[in-house]
Amino acid sequence: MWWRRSPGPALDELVQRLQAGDSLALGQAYDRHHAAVRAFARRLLGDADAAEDLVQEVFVTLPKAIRRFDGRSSLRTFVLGIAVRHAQHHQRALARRKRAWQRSGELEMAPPLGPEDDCRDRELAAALARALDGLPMDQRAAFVLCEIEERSAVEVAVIVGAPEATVRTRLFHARKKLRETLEREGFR
Amino acid sequence: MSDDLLNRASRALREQEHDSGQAPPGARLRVIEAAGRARKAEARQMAVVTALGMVMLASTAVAAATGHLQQAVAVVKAAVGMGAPEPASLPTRTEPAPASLRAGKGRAVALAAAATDATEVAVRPELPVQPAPAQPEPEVAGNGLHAPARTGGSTGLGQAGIATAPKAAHVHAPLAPAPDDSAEDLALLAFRSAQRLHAQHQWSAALAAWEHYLKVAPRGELAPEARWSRAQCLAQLGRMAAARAALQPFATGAEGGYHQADAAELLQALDAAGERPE
Repeated sequence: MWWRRSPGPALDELVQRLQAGDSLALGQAYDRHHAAVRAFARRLLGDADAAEDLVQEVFVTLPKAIRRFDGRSSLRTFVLGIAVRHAQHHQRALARRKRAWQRSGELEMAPPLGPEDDCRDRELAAALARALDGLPMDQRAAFVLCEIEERSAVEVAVIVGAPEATVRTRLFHARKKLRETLEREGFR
Repeated sequence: MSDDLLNRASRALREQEHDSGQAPPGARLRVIEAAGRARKAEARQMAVVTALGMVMLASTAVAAATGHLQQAVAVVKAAVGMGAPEPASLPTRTEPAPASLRAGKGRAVALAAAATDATEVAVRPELPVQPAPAQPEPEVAGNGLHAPARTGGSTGLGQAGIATAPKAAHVHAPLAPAPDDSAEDLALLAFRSAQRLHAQHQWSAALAAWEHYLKVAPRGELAPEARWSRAQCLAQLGRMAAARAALQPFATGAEGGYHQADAAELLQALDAAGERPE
């Protein structure tokens, strides 16, 4: 029939079981992909608690979201895409929490001391993490996926559900803003 | 700042130890339990939606079977402001065509012209029409009226006279209004009913309907049109004295000039035809 989608690649057994509502399959999917999702979430949000909330939300919504998975990408790409889509409101909640911490003076901004190079890298990493907080979520996701996780623009386009050119544009603007922010903080 | 520094910062962030592979204790179990709860909630939601859908379907079916569906739809439309009751498609122009008089066995009057005008007016099909007992109508011979039909052969009046045989099968009485209609609506319904009968050249029934309208709304804004149409019906039925009496106010301008010329022309035609009062 003309209205049916063209058949995609054959779905692997885990995806088929997820689509059938198998709760054991959800456990297996969690085992396979939670580390990648957690690492991405921490880099994207810059906070362990917020990242953990996001990981849980991604896997709780996976059984419903998997119904529209057509097998054209890997399950990990699909799961990361869910994380990107859900990251926005976690980021808002995190921003509120950070503001509260800053008001109460609990947020530790200074990097820990150590050997000179390590100290310099930690300062850089901490400054970059803070600068990432100032980016819009779509640019932040593009930067984290392309630059930190070193994924290709094609793969990132699939994850974020945007054209490849859009991803490159977001990355360009993200890099520009990050450079400016780091310069303002005295990094040359 | 060069891109190198940004790249170095990215690498530093990438290489930071996040213990990213380590899930907090119990995280896996929490995810599976939460997913189970979400699945159950979704199933409950689906059941509720399905039940609501079935109730709606059954209600619609019952309403359709009992004839209340249209009313319910109208109420809903009115509630959401979509379907204010359809404004009456009242005639904005009901001037009849100029009466064409012609010589022959008698002067003819184009009374049916107004009737054909009335056919241009939309009539709500859902208006109930009650049959009325047939009334014998007088048959006028001799110098009768002839109405040249603008729409072709719809006058019902022959050259030899007015043949107004009773039309028992299609005689209609004024509408029986719904009890909850306002007085204005009642008048409007009566007007429409009369208009339709007039358009169908059911002169006797139309006369009764116009008189009913004039009784309901003697000072209504459509009353002059109703009086004019009533006069036409009287003429068509051969009740010339009554027709003259009805036309006189129009001819003298007592109706504010409404159909004044037409009325005068009709009166002249009636006089020329030599009709005597009934």
